[in-house]
Amino acid sequence: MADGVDIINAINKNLSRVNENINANLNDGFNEVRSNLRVIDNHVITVDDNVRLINSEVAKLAADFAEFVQTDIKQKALIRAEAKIGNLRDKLKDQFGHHETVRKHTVGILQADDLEIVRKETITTVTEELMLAAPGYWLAPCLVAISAWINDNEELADRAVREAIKRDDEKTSLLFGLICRRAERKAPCLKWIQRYLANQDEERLDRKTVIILDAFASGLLGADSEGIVARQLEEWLTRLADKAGFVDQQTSQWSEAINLKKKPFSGDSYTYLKKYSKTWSKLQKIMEGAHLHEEIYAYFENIFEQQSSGMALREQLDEILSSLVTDFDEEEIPLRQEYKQTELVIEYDGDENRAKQDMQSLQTTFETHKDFTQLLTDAAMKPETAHASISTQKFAIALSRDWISNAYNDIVAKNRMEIPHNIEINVDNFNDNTVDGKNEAELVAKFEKMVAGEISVANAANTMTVFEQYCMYGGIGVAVIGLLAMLNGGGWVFLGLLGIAGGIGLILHHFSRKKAVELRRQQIAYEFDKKKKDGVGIIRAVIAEVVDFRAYFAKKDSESTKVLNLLEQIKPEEYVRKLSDTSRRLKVA
Amino acid sequence: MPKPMLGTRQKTETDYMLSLTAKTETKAGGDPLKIDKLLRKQRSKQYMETVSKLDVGGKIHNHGKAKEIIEALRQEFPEIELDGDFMGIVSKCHLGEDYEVHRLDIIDDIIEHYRRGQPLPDGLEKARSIAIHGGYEFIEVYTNCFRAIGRDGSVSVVY
Repeated sequence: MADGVDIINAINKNLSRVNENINANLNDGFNEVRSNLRVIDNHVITVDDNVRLINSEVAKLAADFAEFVQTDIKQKALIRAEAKIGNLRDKLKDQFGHHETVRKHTVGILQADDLEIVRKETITTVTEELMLAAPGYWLAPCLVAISAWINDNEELADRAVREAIKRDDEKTSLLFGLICRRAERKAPCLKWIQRYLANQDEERLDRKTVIILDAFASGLLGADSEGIVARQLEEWLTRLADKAGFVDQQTSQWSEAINLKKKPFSGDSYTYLKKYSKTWSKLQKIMEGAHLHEEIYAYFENIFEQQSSGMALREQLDEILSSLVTDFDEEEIPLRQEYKQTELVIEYDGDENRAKQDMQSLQTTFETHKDFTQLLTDAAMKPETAHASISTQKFAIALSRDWISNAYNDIVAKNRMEIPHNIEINVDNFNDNTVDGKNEAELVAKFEKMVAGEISVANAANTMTVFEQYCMYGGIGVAVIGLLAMLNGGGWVFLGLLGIAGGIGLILHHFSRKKAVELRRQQIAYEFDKKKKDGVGIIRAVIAEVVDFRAYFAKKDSESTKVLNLLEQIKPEEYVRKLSDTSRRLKVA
Repeated sequence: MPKPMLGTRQKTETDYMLSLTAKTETKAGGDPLKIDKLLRKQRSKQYMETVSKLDVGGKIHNHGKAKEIIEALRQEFPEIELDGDFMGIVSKCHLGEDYEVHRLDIIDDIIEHYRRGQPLPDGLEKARSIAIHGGYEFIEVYTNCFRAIGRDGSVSVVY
């Protein structure tokens, strides 16, 4: 037996040793694998770094290559442009060189006449030579006419002007209009300007015309006492008004512009309405509409109270005159544009995209067209973006008075259409409404009735169960039975004691529940009484604010009459016809 | 051809004697923009006087008065044939009690008065609030818009 045990012990020992060896070997193996993995990890990191480095170098190379391609493209474009610009210059010189000479001489003659330092004979000789050198060019006969004018040769001036008009009526009219303005000859100036305007399409007015109208409105072109320009403008308006949908278009155009002046209404003084009426958002919106009248009145009043200087406008007019006598004509434009773009390519070292962008912005500056009525709306309501002077704002409002009134009446009606007849009152789960607060007593009664109903429901839920109600009688019964059992003695004593204890427990439970129900009833009474008091207070406060709101809205809304009266006092015919450089002010108070 | 203005609802057997037989006809044609331009014109003094007497007849449905108003409207716009889009007139009621608005029913030639909480029929309810609170003399209701007429006959349009 002892041998057997020894053998088993020996086997156990050997097994332990084997186990230890296996463990030791496994641990060594694991450690080696771990260290090998660490080495692999390091290698992977190194490879990763290398890949990143290669990537960045490839990206750099790609960027360098792209830059090289771009530079190459630019260089080639630059070479092309440099070769082209010479050709273009020659072409321009061949085809329009004489135009350039006429333009330079026009500027020179105008300046010389201003300074009175060139002999009249010299001017005459030069202009006649230029007339011969520039056949078909509108500015050449203009130059002859200016020269004849300086020399007081009416007949020649007349013939030259006729020829210039034949060649280009619009430009000739504008040129002489602006020269007359510089010479302070306002009556002929207005006639020329009218002629220029008559050449315009009232549905496509450019920026130049806008400046001319601005100058007219500012009185810089003289007083239109005979209504020459005013008639032209009326003609435009009549033609536009005859178009289908004109009135609608005007009304919506003005409505849109006027509505932009709306400001948000916070309604901070209406704390209860804000919190306890679902109608609040509607009320807020209509009040914004009502406040608009004050804004618009102040806006129009401010315009008519301001004086205009006209200094900036004078400069703009001179710019137009200068561009008329220095800028190219339509027939030259394609070649000139090509020349300009090539010039820009050279300036930007072959960057064709940048040159194109610059060309586009150069072209769009003066190429914006709008119809006459849109011009009036923009001038009146968006003077900053329309670059309109105070005079033009006044002029635009005066001319558009009837459309503004129409649009304004519609805006007012639209806002009034949104006036909610019933204003909701939402307090807790009470939802009702009022028109003008006259039903306050009725609403309060309804609310109190609702709360009374809620009290009944709450109290109905706060009662003792049948079991709890009968616990007292049941308890007494069980206690009495227990007592009788105890009196029997013997084995009944213990059961009797249990019965008495159980009976007392039931009686105590009955009274405890009764007390709890009573306490809850008092709590319900307190809570609902508070709810009633608070609710009634809120309802009265909301109603007070409704009354307040209705009154305040009516007051603000009625200010629309002020705006309409102000517009009524503006007499467009009178205003446009009596425009003069004496800075006449329109009385609008 | 002028554009029809009055409503095209078919009349029932209970139609009143003073109904205008032609008004239920729907006539095509007419330039709506031109009609809109005409209807924007300030209403005449005579028309204003006639329409403002809407509740003179008291609470009784006054067919004679309705016919007079319809005739005034026809005279106001002789260029437009009164059939098609015109639905009626709504204005604030001054009869007292809880009467709020009344309407001139063009189809049935009657003037009806409505109490608080009593809705106006045929889409006219939308004009109730502006008639009560808007401060206008009355509201002309059309199928595509409302024309609010001021005391001076000025016209404001709400689409």
